[in-house]
Amino acid sequence: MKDPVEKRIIGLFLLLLVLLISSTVVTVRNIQHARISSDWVNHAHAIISEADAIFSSLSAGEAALRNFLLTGDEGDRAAGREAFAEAIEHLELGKALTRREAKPYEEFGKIEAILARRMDFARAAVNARQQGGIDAAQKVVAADAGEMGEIRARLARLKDQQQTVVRSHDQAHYLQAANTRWAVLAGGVLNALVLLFLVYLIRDDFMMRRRAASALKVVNQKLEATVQERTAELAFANETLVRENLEQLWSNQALDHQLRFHELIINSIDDLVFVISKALNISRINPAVTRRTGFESQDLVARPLHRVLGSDAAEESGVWPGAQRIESCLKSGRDLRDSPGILFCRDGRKTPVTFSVFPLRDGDKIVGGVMTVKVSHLTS
Amino acid sequence: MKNQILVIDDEAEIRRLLARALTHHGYRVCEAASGAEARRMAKESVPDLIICDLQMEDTDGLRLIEELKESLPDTPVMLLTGVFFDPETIRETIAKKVAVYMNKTETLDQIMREVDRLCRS
Repeated sequence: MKDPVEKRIIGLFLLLLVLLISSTVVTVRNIQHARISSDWVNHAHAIISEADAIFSSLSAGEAALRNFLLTGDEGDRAAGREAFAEAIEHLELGKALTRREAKPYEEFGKIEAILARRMDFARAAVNARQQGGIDAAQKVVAADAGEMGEIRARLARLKDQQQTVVRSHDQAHYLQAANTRWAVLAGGVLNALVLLFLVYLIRDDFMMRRRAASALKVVNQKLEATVQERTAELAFANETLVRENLEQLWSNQALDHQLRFHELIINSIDDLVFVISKALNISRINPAVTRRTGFESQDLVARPLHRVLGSDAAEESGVWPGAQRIESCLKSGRDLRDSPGILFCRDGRKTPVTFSVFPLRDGDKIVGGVMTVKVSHLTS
Repeated sequence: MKNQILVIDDEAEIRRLLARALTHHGYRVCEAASGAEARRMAKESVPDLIICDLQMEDTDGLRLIEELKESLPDTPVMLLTGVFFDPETIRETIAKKVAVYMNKTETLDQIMREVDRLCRS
């Protein structure tokens, strides 16, 4: 869907186009009419001019004839002939100009008939003068019908008609010019108004766009600030994670170090060390156990203690009082020290020993015990 | 300009971890895995701080510090160890002008704080 401002602009452009075209059409039409009027006016003036020329030539011809009749001068006769010829020529022109106009053409036709009569009269008068002298000519002149007046009248009527035509076309021409002026002016004013409105719309649009751009800029700035903030948060979180990770690794290595150290301590003890569960099973041994008994770790771990430690009586009766003392120690949480027992070696040897048991605590809870076994001095 | 720290420890994992933490903290670090390497690097790099392990396979940490202090009398030394200090060792460290002794069980954060303090001074 187009922007409403865009639609308005397009609509206004179309209106502008329509106004321009209308103004142009009206103006062109008026100009055409003015041209036609002008042609008519010229045409009418031409007819009037021919009418005047006819009368002028005719008058000149009549005057020359009279002179000839009086003087008998051939020069006057020639001038008269020439003038009549001119009159006929102008008459022909006048007829040609009015051939499409019934009334003026008819008028010229009538004038032509009268002119023909005048020329017959002139010829008769000339003949009479040449043959009979001035007296004969006077007789012919006396019989003259006096048609010049009629010719004058007809020509005057013709001219009046044409003047009327000229006047009417002049008026029309004036009106057309006025119309053209108003059309051009109105078109100009309307176009100016439309252009002003267009400028207003465009300005309005520009302001809207500027506001939108400004709002967008503010939003972008906020977004940028948020992004920066978030990036900083992430960087900080990352930094924290890296530090925590390093700290964790360091703690792990410290712990490993401690475990190794403790193991070294345990492994360096010459006494036999057993870690036992509350059920008197062996969980761990130190290397001294292996050295003394010949049993490897996998032989003893997860096995009962009596496999490697007991008494001769227990072997016979199956009951070892020492076990009960150990159980009691682990139950009560009291240390058991220097209790006698027999160490059984892999190769079948039996070694008298003394053992001590120390409860192994995890918080308040006894989870097992640590047993140390010393070989008796007499047999070590 | 960032401070240069020489880390001396024959345990590779500890040495690298410490170097990584110091680098992350903004220091330049050079590592030495033995006494001989430490002597060479101390001459080449002239560190602003020496962190040295107490017990190494080829050399005793305190003896090494004594030697290094001859060529770098103004460079502070941090002694780092995994065992607990006994009074005799403490006396010796004081005598050899060790700036601070720390246990490897202490947190990295505490160790870095001491490093910062020694480098500032």
